Amino acid sequence: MSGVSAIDNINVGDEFTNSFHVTLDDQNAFADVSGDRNPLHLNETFARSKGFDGAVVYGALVVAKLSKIIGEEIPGQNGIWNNVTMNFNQPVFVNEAVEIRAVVDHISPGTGAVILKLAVYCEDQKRMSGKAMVMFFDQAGDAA
Amino acid sequence: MTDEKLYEKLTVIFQEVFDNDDVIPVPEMVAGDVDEWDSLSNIRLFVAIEQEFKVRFSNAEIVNFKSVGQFIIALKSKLGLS
Repeated sequence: MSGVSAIDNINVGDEFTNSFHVTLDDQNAFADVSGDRNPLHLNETFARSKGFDGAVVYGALVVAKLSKIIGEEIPGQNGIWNNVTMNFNQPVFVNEAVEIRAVVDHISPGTGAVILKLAVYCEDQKRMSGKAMVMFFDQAGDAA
Repeated sequence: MTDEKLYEKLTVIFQEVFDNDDVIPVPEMVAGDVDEWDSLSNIRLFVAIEQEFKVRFSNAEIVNFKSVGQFIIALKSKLGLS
């Protein structure tokens, strides 16, 4: 694990993915870390009583799964994550197969920044969308 | 593109990047004039401008801009408007 070595080694359209499913154990672990114990995320019966098809995965937990892409692949250890916006358009449910897709949308060599277009899919249905900015370190090891 | 349209687009970008609707880019403006203008927002500013106008700035260009006016001269040159 080291990630993309330099901004020159990526192209617009390059795609990075992370596939996973979230278990109820994951939800409980996230509840412990975040302190958010809303039963919508932890109790399937409660969630169904509110009209959902199951316990709703924490949106921030999905964003946390994006951290694997950014921390290990682009830019990996060769840069930092500057910001993220994510729209939770449709819920993701516990035990669903999820895939985060991060596609290089803009490369700015002058600043060292790269914009990633984000989409979260369950099978072929887009549930979330957003953008993130990461920044590569320059050759001296500083943020460019 | 007219100067008026150029400034109109830049105003939208500046206000969004700095999250401040009072920021109006003018030629004599410098970074110190905007409280929210730090190194990270400067990067976001140039990335947003690059995306909007489909241009690229080198690191050398960016560090040498001393005012919005200098930057706009360079932007207009890249856009073939000078």
